[in-house]
Amino acid sequence: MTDPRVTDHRLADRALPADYLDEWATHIAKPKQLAARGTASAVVFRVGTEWLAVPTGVCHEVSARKPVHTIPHRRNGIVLGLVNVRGDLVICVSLSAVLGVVDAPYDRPERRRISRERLLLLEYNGQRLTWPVTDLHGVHRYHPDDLQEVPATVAKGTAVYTRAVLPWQNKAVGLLDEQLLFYTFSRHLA
Amino acid sequence: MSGVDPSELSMAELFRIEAEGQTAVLIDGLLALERQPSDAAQLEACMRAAHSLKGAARIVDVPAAVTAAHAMEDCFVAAQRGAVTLHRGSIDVLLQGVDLLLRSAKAPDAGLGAEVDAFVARLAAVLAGEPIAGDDAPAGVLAVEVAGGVTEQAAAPVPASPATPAPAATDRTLRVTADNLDRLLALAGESLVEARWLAPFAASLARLKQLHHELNRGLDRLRESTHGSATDAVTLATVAEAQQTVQRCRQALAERLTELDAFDRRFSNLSGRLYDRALACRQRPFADGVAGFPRVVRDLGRSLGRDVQCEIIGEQTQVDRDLLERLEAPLNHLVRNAVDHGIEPPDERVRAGKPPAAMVRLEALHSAGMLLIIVSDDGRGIDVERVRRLLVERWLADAESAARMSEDEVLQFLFLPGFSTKETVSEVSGRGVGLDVVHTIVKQVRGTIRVVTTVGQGTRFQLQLPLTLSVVRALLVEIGGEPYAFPLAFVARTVRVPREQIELLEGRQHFALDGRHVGLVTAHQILGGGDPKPHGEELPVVVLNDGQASYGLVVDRLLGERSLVIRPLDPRLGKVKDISAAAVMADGSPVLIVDVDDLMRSIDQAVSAGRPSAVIEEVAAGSGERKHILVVDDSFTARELERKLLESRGYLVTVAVDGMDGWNAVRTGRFHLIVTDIDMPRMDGIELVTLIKKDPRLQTLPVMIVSYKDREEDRRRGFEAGADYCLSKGSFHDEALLGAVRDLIGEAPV
Repeated sequence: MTDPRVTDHRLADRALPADYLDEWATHIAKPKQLAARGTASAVVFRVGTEWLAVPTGVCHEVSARKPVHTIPHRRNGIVLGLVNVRGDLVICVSLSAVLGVVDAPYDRPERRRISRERLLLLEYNGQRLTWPVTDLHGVHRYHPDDLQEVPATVAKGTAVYTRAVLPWQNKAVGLLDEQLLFYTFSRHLA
Repeated sequence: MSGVDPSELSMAELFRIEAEGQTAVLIDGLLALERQPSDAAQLEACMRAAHSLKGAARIVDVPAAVTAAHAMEDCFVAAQRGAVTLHRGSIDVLLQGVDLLLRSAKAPDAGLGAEVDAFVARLAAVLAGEPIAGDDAPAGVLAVEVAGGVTEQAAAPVPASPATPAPAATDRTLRVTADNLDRLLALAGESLVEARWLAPFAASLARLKQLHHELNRGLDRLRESTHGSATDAVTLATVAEAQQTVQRCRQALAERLTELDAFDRRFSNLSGRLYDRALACRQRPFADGVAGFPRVVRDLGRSLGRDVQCEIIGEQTQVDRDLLERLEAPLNHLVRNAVDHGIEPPDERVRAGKPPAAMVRLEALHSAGMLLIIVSDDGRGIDVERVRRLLVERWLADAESAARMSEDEVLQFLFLPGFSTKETVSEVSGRGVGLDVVHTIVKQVRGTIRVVTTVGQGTRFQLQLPLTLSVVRALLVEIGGEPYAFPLAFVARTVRVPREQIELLEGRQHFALDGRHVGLVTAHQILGGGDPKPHGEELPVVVLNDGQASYGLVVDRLLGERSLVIRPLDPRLGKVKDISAAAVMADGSPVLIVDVDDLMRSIDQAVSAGRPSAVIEEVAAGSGERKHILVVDDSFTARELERKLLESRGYLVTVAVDGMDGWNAVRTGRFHLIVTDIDMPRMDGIELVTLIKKDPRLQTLPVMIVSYKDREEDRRRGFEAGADYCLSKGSFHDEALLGAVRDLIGEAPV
């Protein structure tokens, strides 16, 4: 067996391939890709006909739709009722009511109908809320530069709560302002 | 502040509430600064608190507080600049200032001028770097110098009574947040629900087994039909093979089913135990709630010239932590009662042949699924015959029926409001209030109370209580297609009332129950909800009784009796009318627990308002064309003052507590004018104005800046940011504000 040290030497002392330097020079000469793509992420979902998104950090859990118990004297359209999420009774609110989006009323889940409807559990500042969504895509990664300003033509209700527009699958997805949403919801709970 | 309508309060009350809040901030900040003198965030918070208090004090015109707050603000500003460092001596002085502020808020006319001047002088001396007595005093001295409230706390350590040896330190206790514990309980409950899913699932597999059986029989018939006919060997072999496969399937399925069954049993057992343990975490030893009583008894006995000892039995008895908390006041009352009413003076005891030292016993034990707490004394006892005479004297019973009453019945009158047997009213007890309060609280926690007494030997109060407050036996019903639960303690009975037995009396529906007329109301009218199910010929009725009135509540369906683990409603919902709490049913769906006291009131209202009609919460209709103003100010006093002022002129006013709150409100509401302060936490007024004026949808909205500081710089910054008007609060006059508002948006339409 040869002395490993000798082998190492030989390896390091090898002549470079002819085009090696050129290859690296070209690579280094290329303009640097300034930032990594996909540094931010959001959960993309649909309410009624509207595609929307919330920052992933706010969304804690996705579950199947569950029975909601309405609350007497709190049936103002925004508060849907109480729903059991992992043994916790969480307030369920209607995003469509606040945004003014047309949505089918939230019925009890019908049996034997495969549905794309889900319940999103959100937590912001230690406060928990759930809201039902018509369809859920999942987590979408994007770069902050991809975000576009909210066009002034967007219907008033949605525009107020939209922080930016996120292009996704040829659709304009409204990235919601979670802080403002939680503010509005907590004002309508009592 | 919660639950109090600020518009009901006077200016002085507003200031007091604000002072309580801001002094709490100051104390927290000062204690933090004592350890970290240059903590910029704390200095900022203290400066802001002092500043707000100064402004508020100026509005309500309490010069002493203005001076004190002003001196403190200057001190914090100097510390921010690095001109002074806050060492322990100056923290001492500043804490005294905090007490002065609090006192001036509680009694604005107390004339604290001299004290405030002394404080300002001391503070100036400290800031000038002069040594102050106590500058290097140990921290312990602080507590003594600070206001009465603090010294009291410091002076009341719970003494270990000689009669109660410290419990052996075998059970180590850990501090766990209540929130964590509740989540744990919720998860354990959920695993119990999940476990219940397995049994029906296993049962559904039995159907599969049946199908296998049928398949096998089919193959049997196939083989028989081919028997004798000229079928080729290959078909026969295939059928035989298929039969064998079916056989193997059946066997495998049977084995899996047995395993599943065993797993179901193990899992149900495990989650049941897990749940029981989690529930047990809510329990605390009895001693935790009553450790202070030996001291109370001793001191009270002393003040009355009696030698009384207190003995606690069953210190380790586990009691629900909420129950223990709720019982503190009633137990305290019973113990005081025992010392004051029960125990005789020493000479009287000696004459009666008893030891001069008396004994009050507190005892806790579990008995037959209930918790018993007994408060007993070895005093003179209650003279039942005297109580009987008092009943007649006070027209509570006529002589004949009083004579017929059993001892127990007579003693129950002690719990009546205003009934006292003591001739003289003393500081300690004997005002006739108390025992009825004890009774009410015990009833609230779903317990009962009894008295047993022997003249000359002593009195025993026996409280029989549920083991836990977190579980309630309840009647489940369906109302508007959704489940609701009524605590059994309030349900007199359930009946099915045939339609033809319902009578109409004075336009109200009644039915006869045990010879009495019971008013009938449909639950759906009170609680609302989805469409009620149509009833058949008999109406399911829950008869509710709160001790005074009875009502029959028509529900959709009676579902049965269950034990429910009570979950409080999310506090963000506030008090929900007619509902006390929520729970999760066996299938995991939510159920609401009815607040029967509240519901009875709602029914009363609905009935007395004439014909009970559907009570529908109406969403406030668009409030016409009233001009809507948003007031943004972090000072409670200033905020409420502005609100009252503007509302008195017919404007609609919404308030926000800081810039961030204001920015949220501006974006989600429709306002005609924004009135904002400048210095606020989270987002200041300048930033708020800048954001509003940058937003294409909001930029036309007029904004007025109101500032405490009459500084040219503030005005300039305000106008630069786009404010339409700047008003300084230094010259705060009602007319100035109203005039400016009128100029910007005009009068409010009357």
